[in-house]
Amino acid sequence: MTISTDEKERQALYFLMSTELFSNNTLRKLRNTYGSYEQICKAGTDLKKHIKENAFDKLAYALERTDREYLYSRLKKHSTGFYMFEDDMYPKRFRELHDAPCAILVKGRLPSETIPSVAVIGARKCSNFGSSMTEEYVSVISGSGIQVISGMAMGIDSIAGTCALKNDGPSFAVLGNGPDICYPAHNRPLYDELVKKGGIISEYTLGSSGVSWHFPQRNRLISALCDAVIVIEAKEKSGTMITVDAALEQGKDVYALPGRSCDLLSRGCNMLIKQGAGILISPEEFICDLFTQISHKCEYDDFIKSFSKKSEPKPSIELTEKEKVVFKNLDHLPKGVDEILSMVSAKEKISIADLLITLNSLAIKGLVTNISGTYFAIK
Amino acid sequence: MYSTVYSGGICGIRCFLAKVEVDMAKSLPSFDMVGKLSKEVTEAKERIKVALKNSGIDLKPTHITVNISPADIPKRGTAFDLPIAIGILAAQGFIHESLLTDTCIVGELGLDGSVCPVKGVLPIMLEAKKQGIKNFIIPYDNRQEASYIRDVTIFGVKDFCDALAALTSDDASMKVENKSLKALSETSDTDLDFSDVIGQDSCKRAALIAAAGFHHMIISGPPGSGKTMIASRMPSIMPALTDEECMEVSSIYSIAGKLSSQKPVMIRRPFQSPHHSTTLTALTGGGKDIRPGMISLSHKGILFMDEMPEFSKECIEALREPLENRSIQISRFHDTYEYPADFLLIGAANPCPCGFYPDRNRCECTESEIHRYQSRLSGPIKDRIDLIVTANKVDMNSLMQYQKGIDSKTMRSQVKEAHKLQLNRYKGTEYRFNSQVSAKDMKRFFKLGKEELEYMEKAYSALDLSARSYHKVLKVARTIADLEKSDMIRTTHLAEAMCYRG
Repeated sequence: MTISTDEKERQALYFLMSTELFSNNTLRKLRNTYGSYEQICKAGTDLKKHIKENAFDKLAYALERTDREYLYSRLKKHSTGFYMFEDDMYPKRFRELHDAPCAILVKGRLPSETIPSVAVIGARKCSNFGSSMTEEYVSVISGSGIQVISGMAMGIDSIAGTCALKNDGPSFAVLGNGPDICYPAHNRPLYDELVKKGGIISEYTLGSSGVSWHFPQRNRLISALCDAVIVIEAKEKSGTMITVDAALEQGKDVYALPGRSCDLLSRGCNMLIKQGAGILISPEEFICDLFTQISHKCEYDDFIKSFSKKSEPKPSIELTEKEKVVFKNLDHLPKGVDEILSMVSAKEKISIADLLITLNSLAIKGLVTNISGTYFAIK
Repeated sequence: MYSTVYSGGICGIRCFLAKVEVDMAKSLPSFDMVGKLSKEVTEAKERIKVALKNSGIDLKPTHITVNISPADIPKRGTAFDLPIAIGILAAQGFIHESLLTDTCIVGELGLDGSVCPVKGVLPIMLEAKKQGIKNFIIPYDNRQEASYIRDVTIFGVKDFCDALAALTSDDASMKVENKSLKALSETSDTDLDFSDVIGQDSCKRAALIAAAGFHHMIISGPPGSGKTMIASRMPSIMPALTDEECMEVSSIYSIAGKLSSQKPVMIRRPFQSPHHSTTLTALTGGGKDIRPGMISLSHKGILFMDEMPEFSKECIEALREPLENRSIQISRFHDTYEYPADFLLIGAANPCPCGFYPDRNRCECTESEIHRYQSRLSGPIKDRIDLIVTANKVDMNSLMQYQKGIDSKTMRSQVKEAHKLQLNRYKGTEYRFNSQVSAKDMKRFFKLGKEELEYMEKAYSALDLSARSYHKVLKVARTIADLEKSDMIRTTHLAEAMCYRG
């Protein structure tokens, strides 16, 4: 049986997806029954044999009301690509999924298949430690030309995306809503940048709003696109763990960043390490691990050949004695000045004014960041 | 059959010397009052008629006309009772005109002829004194606040007969003795002291800077970290009010009816802390009778807004003008009133709805919740607040090794020194403190050396400063330099100032 993928067929599939009545596997099954997506739309009451009464009614209602051609034409208006499973452009990695999307929508471009990708994921409500660690890892990863995939959620995801783009590295986001919707709305600058320099991928149609069950579904696509997943910060029960589970199911490597056992946001990571996830020691170490992992994959040959270890030594920063003493008492977790003062003055006499002056000069040197009033943390 | 008596009235915060004119004519008996009077002023005629009768004075049936001039200013209150009654007697020829030429009379009459206290005696007297009045007849119960006005003769009278006696004979028993403010100020130190505050060195330091340069400040921190404790100790490190300031503040309190025999004048700097459910009118002033609001009652003192983000949006936004102009204008359809509002704003705020941000182990708030909470204080308001500090929770350790820190007395003397330097610097300008210098005069007063300029340039890009925070840093740095008696602003001053930019 030849499957026609002409314009009408695409319109029919896009319409069926937009109803959000069927899972990917149901759609495939229906198409096998009727021969094409278009035939599904034309099947009429015969469909009742295969789908529930309720779904049928809704579909019939939608069929009556929708101009499929117009619906499909909106994709062009939003400059969004629509790639069906049968298309050459459709990502190979999605094909391997047992519930592969029948089609995906892409704004911008798709990740290159000859360059390795890493998913950087973590908590939405991340700590300062999480955000600075994300920046540290992502700057090295995207500095090596590796693609960074995330979910553009708040917290770790958006920091990863932003940081990758800042380093001129390619970055992609998989959304749980239509690719024309920027959710969360205040990520607009990141969204716009991603469209320009990377890509936004979604299996939901234009205008589809993010429903809670979309997001676990979306997570499986994030892990599918990448070669390894790194978890920066996560609680024991969280959306991040869903991505990790999906990644393990798909046979991807999972790395977790260890944290202090008392930090709630590091519990999930520590637990993953206990269960056998890779441990993140340093960004460079991770890159080495990744290369040994991917060295046997022939599609990356060109990338590996062209990759030179151009690790630039970090410019050394001169610190005064006082700055050294103060810096030693700082942490990735923000500390109030008074707390720092009591710790520093245990060893050395220092006035509050002096301490503030020292902290500020450390901040100007880029080692320390000032959070919410007079809290300071290592950058 | 005509007489004139001087009295005083209040319009907003401004007082005016009023001329009470009484005319008595042989015509049909009646009692008419004119001169833009409110209800309670015209009601005086009933009180006066009965009070005179009960004081043993019979009124002849005549046509009485009373005019209170200037006739275009609205008059309120009951202070005109006594002067009108005196005027009636004078018009009948019982009191000689010459006795009334430099005497100002205020007071409310009771039906039994007693003289009851009225609001605003102090500012009325100050205004009358300015216009050359030498003698005052005031209610006995108002004598305390009046006693601090120098170089005038004051009679505190209990009833109408006393008032007559005070006018006609020079009875010393009713004279109010003059008191000096100095004697009062020496006994008025508050018992709240900064040495009670454990740890919190950064907040104490910020409080010192705030008081020295009159910088508005926000203390942010988790619940129970001592924000209120620090704010309530602010008056203890501010220099005492000068005599003029004292009279200015007391006048406002007098008009608001907030002076009592225990507190005859405002010798301490006022400290007002409105609850966050306060209404706009209560905060800024206004209402039917146009009364001064909390911000005017904290004139020359401290307005402490605890839980600042919880205040209604309109309340917070209403602070914009007073923070800029140091006064507030209240417009009603018949007039515009201007109240002074030169206060130091100290705000306390939680960093997020739960209060524990940035401690992510305890703070469960989402990024947008935190953002929303913090943005309740709008940009224009934050623009006017120079210092933003964090009060951290005091740990067990410092509580145990309780050491008395710097006390209020030392801090106050530092503040005084800094004020003196600023007074010299801004002589002949509209400014008094570093915080008040506007952007156009920054270059003139806050000169930076080459090294300092370079430092600021470096910091500007490294710390991602905005033009707004750049100016704030300069102002605060100037105050820090003043505290250290340094002529020039040094890099260390700039560095410290940057930590308070929030």
